[in-house]
Amino acid sequence: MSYERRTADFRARIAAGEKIEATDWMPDEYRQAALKFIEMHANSEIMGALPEREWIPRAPSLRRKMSLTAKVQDEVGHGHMLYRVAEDLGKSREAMIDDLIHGRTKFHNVFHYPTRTWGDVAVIGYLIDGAALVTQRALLDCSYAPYVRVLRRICAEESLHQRHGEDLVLELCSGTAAQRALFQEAVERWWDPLMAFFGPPSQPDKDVLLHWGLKVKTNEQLRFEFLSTYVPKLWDLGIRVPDDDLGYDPETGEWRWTEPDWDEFWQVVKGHGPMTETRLALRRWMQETNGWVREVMAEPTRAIA
Amino acid sequence: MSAASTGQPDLRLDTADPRLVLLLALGDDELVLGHRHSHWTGVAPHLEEDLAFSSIAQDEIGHAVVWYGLASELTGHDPDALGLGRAPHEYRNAILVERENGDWGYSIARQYLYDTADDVRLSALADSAWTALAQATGAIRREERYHLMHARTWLDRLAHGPVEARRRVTAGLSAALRDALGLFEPLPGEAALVDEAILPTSHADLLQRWLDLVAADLERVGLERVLEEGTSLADADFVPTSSGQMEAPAALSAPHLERRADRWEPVGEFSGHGGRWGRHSEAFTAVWEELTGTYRAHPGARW
Amino acid sequence: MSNRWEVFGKRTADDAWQAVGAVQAPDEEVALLFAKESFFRHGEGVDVAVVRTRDFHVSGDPDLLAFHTDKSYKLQSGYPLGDKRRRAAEHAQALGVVIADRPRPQDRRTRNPEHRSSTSHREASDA
Repeated sequence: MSYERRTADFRARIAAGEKIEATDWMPDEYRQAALKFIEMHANSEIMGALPEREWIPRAPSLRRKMSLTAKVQDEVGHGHMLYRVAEDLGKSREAMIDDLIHGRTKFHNVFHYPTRTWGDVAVIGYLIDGAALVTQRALLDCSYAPYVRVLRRICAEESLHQRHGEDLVLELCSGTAAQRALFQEAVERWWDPLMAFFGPPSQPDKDVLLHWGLKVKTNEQLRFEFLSTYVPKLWDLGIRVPDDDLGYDPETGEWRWTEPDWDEFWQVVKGHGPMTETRLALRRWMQETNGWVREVMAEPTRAIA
Repeated sequence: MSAASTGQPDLRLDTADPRLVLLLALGDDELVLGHRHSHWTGVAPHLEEDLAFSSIAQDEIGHAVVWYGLASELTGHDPDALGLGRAPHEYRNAILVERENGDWGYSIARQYLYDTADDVRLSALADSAWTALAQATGAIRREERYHLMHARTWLDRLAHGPVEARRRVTAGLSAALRDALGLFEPLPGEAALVDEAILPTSHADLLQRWLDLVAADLERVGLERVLEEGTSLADADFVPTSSGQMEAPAALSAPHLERRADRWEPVGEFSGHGGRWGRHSEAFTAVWEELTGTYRAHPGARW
Repeated sequence: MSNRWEVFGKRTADDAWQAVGAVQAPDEEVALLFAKESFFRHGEGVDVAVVRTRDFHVSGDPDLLAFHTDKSYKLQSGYPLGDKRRRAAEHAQALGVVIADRPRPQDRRTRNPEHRSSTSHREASDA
C-alpha cells in the first residue's frame, strides 16, 4: 500500500474517533507532531516545578510547606510520565532534557516568569493550574491513546491541585488586608501571561495538531471555558481582573477581553522571557554537575570492592 | 538575625521542663532537615529520585508536626508558632541538619547518617515511660523504615558504583560524620529525662548503638575507613548566639572514635555546647530566615 | 532503554495486577523504590511489582486474539434473550399453564424484616 493511501486510511481512523497506539503504524508527520507536542507538555511540567519550588522554603505554615512540596512533586511526576510517552515515539528522555536545557525545545509561556510573593503561589495553584486543567481535560479526547491514559491520571492529580489552589486563595481572600493584597497584586501581574497561555486565535485549516486530532478544541474554546469558570469566582471574592474591557456578552454568548501583547508571547516562548535564562541555567548546571549520579542509575550495579 | 523589622515578636519558651527540650530537639531536627531535603524537589539529579527524595522531605516535616503537636500540649502554642516563630538561638536541632545540601554524595551521606541515628533514637523512645511520646513513635517509625531502605539502597549503589560515585559518597560521609556525632550531644536536663525513663537510654549509650549499626553498614560496602576520620566536632564557623547575659560558651567538641577490640567506640566526652543548646553554624542563618520569614512577616495570619 | 521497568499495582489485596506505568532504574530494588514514588503517592494501592520492559513480550498482533469464524457463542452478546423471554411468556399464557396464584416477594433482594428469624433455617434463594 502506498504511503499516501496508508496516510489517508490513518486519517480516516482518526476522523472516525479511533485512538492510535504506540505500536500502530503512523505517518511521520503524525509521529513528529505528537512527539513535539507531548515533549513540550513534559518540558512544561518540569519547568513549571521551578517557579513554585522557590516558595517551598518560604511557605508560611508547616502544612503549606508539606502540601506545596507534594504539589511540586506531582508536577515532576507528570513530567516523568509524559517523557515516557514521548520516549515511545522515538526520542530518549536524555535527548529531550538535553534539548530543553540548551533552549532547543519549548515550554509554556507562564513558566518563564518570576514568583515574587506567596500570592504568586496562589495564582499558580488556582488560575494557572485551572487553565492547565481546562486544556488537559480537553486533551482526554485526543487521538493518541498512550497520551490519553497518562492524561487521565494527570487530570485526577490536577483536580487535587485545583482544590489545593482554591484553598490557598480562599485563605488569602478571607485573611488580613495584607494577605488579600498579596493575591490581588499577583493576579494583576499574571493576568496577561495567563490570557496568552491559551495562545493566539487558532487557524483550524493550518493547525497541524487539530488536523491530526492531537488537539480537539480551539484556543478560543479553551479560553472561553477558563473565563467562564474562573472570572465569576474571582468576582465573587472581590478580586479585580486587570482588564477593564473584560465582560461576558449575553447577546453573542462570548467573552470580551483584551488581547495580550502577542509579540511578547512569541518572544517569551522562543526563550526570551524574564526568567528563561536563569531557570535553564539552573537546570543546565544541575545536569552537568550530576552526570555521575545518572551514570550510577543507568548502569547495573557493579562491585568494585 | 532579629525579628525586630517584622511585627511578629519571637516566641519565648520556658525550657525549664526537659521534656520540652527533648521535643524541640526531635522536632527541630526533622523540620530543618526536611527543609534542606525539600530544596532537591524539582532539581534532583534523576527524575524518579526527585519524587523519592521529595517524599522523604515531606515525611520529615510531618514528623516535626507530630513532635510540635506534643510540645503544644506542654506549652499551649500551636505547631506553626513552635516551628516557625522562635528566635534562632531557641532552635535545638543538631548542626548536621542545617548544613548546606552540598552535592548528591553529601546529601545521601547525611540522609543515611541522620536516618540511622533517628532509628536508634526512635527505637529507644518507643519504650518511653511517657506514653504519649512512646505512642507517637509508632507512625513515625513506619515511615522511617522506608527512609532507611532508601538511604541504604543509595549508599550501596554509590559505594559499589563507578569510581566517581564512590569518591563522592566517601567524601560526603567524611564531611558529615563529625556533625552526625552532634545528634548525640547530651540534652540540657538529660539526667532527669533518663531518671524518669522518658528517655530510656542516654545519648551516650545511643551513640554506641548507632556506631555499631553504621560500622556494620560501612564495613559491608568497604568504607569503614570513614570512621577513622571521626575525631572531633570542633568547628570554626559557629555563630555566637548568646541570649545577652553571658559570654557564649565554647563550641561543641565530640568524643573521637577508636577501634577497640571488635568494635568502634566513642572515646572521651562531649564538651562545649552545640545545637542542643541553641548554638548553630553560619549555615543556620540562611535556613532560619527562609524558614520563618513569611510566617513572621504576617502576625496572626491564617494560611 | 535496557534500564526501563514496567510497573504493576494492586488497588486492593484481592485485585489482579494492573499495569500503571514505567520507570528507569538500574536494578529491581531501585525500580521498586521508584515505582512506589512514581505511581503510589496518593494512596493508589496496596502492592507494587516491576518487570524489565525487555522481558515484557508484546504480541502486537491483534490477529492473534481476533475471532476469525463465528465465536458469538462464547460471548454474552451471543445470547440475546429479550425477545425470547417475551415469546415464551406469551406462549405460556396462551397455553394457560402460568402459575399465578402463589405469593411472590415484591423485590427479589429485600426480605421482610419481621420474618427474618423464623425463616433462618431455610433461606429463600435469591434467584
